[in-house]
Amino acid sequence: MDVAFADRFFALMTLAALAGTIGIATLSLGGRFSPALARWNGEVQGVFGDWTYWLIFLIALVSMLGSLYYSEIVGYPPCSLCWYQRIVMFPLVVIMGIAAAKRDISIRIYVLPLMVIGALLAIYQYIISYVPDAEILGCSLDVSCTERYIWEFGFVDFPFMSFVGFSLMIALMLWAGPGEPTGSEE
Amino acid sequence: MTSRKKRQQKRSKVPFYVGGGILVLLAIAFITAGPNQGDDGSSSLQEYADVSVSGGSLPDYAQETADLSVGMPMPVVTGESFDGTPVNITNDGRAKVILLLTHW
Repeated sequence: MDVAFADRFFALMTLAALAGTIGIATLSLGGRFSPALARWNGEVQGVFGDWTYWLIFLIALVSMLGSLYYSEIVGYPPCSLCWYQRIVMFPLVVIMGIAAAKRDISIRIYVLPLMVIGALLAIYQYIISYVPDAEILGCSLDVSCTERYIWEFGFVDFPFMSFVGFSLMIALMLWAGPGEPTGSEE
Repeated sequence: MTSRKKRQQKRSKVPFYVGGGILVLLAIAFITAGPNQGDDGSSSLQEYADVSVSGGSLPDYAQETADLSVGMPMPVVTGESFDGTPVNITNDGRAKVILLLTHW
């Protein structure tokens, strides 16, 4: 796969995920104030209900495969912050795969902290790429945490992709909610 | 048809919506991403290449004494420039400064 094509594809996926995150946040939060949005939210939740955990699994899977593609095939060395994000992202593939298959809503309490940690690490890395002086966690001297291996649309780089991925997973996990378990209607 | 049935019908189509969306993104990426060309058009250039150094190292410079490396043959550095053009830094009788830069 051509690297430029992969860069563009993953950047587009990121934008789609960002739109999804904003959409879910709008429906969930707006639904508290607007009856119309609440109705919409209920409709969309009803349609996605069974598939929400599978979507989270898919996001984790695509994130993991993308990360491995860039490190193992393209040859970009993962920095220490990237490794920390991988540590929380990779297990989510297995955990969410099993949770989706078993339709286990109790997984929420276990995976949400992982997702939040991943999102915080990603936003921190994104910030220090703009403000290197803000770096408080030491990065290895061998591999820079702030080097941009990919830069699409003037703002999409690896930390941004990671942040959006974790954010969408958090939004979907909260959106599914304990009262809206997958497979609840079966 | 009840709203629940309608909802279930829509629900069964979710994988197709997701798969279709991914296919659309693949198509857009294919159309908009030029071969080996990034936003700045510079990604056809290599960012780094292998460098080889042959010859013995020069002795460390101790400021208290005269530079022992004066008159000794310098190591030969061979590599490539950004566009792949071979670059050789050899002893051709002219003075040279080799500056190594990186950033974190």
